[in-house]
Amino acid sequence: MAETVSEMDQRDIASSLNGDGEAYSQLVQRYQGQVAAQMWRFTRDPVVLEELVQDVFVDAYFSLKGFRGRAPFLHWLRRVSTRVGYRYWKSRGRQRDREEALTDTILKLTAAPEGATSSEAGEAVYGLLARLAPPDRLVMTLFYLEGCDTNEIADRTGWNRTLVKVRLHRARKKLKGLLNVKRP
Amino acid sequence: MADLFKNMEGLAARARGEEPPAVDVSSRVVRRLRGEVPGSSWPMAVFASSAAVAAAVVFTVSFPSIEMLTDPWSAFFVLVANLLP
Repeated sequence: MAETVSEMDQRDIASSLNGDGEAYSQLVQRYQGQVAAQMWRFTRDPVVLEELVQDVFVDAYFSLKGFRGRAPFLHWLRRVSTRVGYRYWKSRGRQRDREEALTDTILKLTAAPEGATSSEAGEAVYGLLARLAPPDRLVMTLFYLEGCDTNEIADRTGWNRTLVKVRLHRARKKLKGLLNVKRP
Repeated sequence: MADLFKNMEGLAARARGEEPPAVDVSSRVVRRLRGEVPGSSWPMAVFASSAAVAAAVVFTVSFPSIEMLTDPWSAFFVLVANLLP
């Protein structure tokens, strides 16, 4: 059976659309943890994370009329989060993330990943993927860090499946190339 | 030789279990929606500055015409000034 939007969410969404701030606050409280977990793939800075989570819920509010309720609210929210995160990367352009060299720590962890904590692993993969251009970085992040398959990536990004597959293939190739070049 | 890409895949799988820092943005989101707290959205700032530039250009270009419209005697005085020795 296909998942649908919960009754509680339906009620809060309807009230939010009628201008009830308290109802929207309830929705934010219910989902901010999951949204933060997703946005943590787009930044490693806790201050930026908070800004991005806010941006997701502000964007979501203004798009709320477009929510059809055919799938759980969180699915729809994940699409909004992906859009906000991707926009953040694009707005940063070729700034710091991509200019940073692959640090020794990242290279050492990639060479010998045994014993790395989940946080160290997240930091290392984030650093590696930051070397890619935003579209490649997005497919790789969704595939490897979020564990999405190509259908889910297509759903979250709005790109068609063929494009997702092509981007994934190219991004893997680029990353393999980078890892080989940077090998100590 | 270690397959670095395979290692990266292993690290990514481990990173999926990572806990992000705790956030509580509900009150701030509602305040932003009520316009009490400025957001971080740059499109509005870009729009506002472009509108200000456009307004300045229009004002500069149209200022002489506006001056003429608000002073109907100016054409007369220009004529008089030209006629005087």
